[in-house]
Amino acid sequence: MRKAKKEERRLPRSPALRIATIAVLTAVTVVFTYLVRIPIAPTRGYLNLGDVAVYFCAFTLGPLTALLAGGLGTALADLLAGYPQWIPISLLVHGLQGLLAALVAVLPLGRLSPGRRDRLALRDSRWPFPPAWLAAGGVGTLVMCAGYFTAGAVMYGFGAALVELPGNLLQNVAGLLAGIPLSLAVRKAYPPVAELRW
Amino acid sequence: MTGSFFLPGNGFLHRFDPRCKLLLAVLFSVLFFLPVRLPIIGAYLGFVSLSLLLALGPRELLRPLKTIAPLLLLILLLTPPFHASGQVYLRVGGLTLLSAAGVREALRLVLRFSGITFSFYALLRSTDPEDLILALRACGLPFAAGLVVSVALQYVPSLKVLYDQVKDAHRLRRAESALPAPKGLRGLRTLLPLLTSVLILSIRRIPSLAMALELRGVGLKNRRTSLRRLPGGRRLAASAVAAALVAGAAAASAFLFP
Repeated sequence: MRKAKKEERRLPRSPALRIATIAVLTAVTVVFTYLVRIPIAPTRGYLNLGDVAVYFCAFTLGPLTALLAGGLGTALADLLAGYPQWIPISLLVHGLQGLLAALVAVLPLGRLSPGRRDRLALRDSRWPFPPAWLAAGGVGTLVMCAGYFTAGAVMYGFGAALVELPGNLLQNVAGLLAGIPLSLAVRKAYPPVAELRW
Repeated sequence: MTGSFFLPGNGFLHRFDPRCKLLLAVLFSVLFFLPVRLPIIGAYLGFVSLSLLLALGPRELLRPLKTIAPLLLLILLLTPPFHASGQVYLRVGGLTLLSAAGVREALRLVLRFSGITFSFYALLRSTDPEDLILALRACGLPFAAGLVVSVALQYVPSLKVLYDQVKDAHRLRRAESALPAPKGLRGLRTLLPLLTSVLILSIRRIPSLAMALELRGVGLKNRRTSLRRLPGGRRLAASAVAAALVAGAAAASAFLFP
């Protein structure tokens, strides 16, 4: 009986479903990153909604989707937008950002099953969203800003890398402000999305 | 949005084997970080720039340069104050703004960043995305990862169309209120319903895509066949010899002229 219940709660094991999930969310991340581009004048980088997609994946679809879709999506967006020098950096930094944000978001709930975790996180909280998501956003922001700053400092020096820091911070704040309500809205409007979490 | 950075052509870079191009791009990216003299780094950049110029034309050389030009200017302005040693050229008050070491370091960073940009640009502009994925597979990228990238690139244009359709639908609703679209954070708030719709419509495609992949044998343990392979034979041999010569010369110069 206990084993049967455990199997019912098990996530989908189909490799095809996981590949499809990551591929579609990667494409979504590319569109979000590439679609809205607000140029940062000094460095010819751009503010975008890529972090919105990364945080959405982290809070809705779990750490592995956030790692892969976040990293690949932003890397492909750099490819399409004509910033090839940032491809490996975006792959690593945004991938880690998504992974760590997703892990921190469920940290307080320990070893509960994913379904029970989701129900507790949303129902029992006095907040409109799980407070751990704010901590997750903080961790994600730290990883993203530190990652790009380090890469920039190595590639083109400390001074120029420092100029990009405020833009990256702003991008993360915007990503979190939009990512949290998006995750809540999609979960409410389309409950089957929880089955794709892994 | 076409979903590709590739520029079709028939130059020598287009005919160069993608696996060798990928390895050379990675090698040159590493070479630019080596602690070698400025003329050597300049020679590396010169080689990459010349290849780009001869294979793709002057416009394709200027294009990445225009993209990174403001950042290069920023590097030239902001690097020297952090490397104040050697002969001083400009001092304001007690602060050394320009010195010999600062100029050298700024030039090194400019050459490095330009070189990495041109290396990747040459690779991606002259390589078909399918060939690039096959080259990455040859270098060890798992089949599933290659499949994810190729499916994602296929989906990007259709998601863009979906986004435009949903945006038009939302705009028609907003037209009834006759208010202009807000900007800044309020604009982001207005985007949320649009993004929610796009996300749900995208996620709803996942099960049918998964079914299509399963029907094509994704997830099975048996040995895979493939529709396309990268050509071998003389083209690969010539590319490999050329790549080995270039890599050998570049690596040797780093050690012979430290």
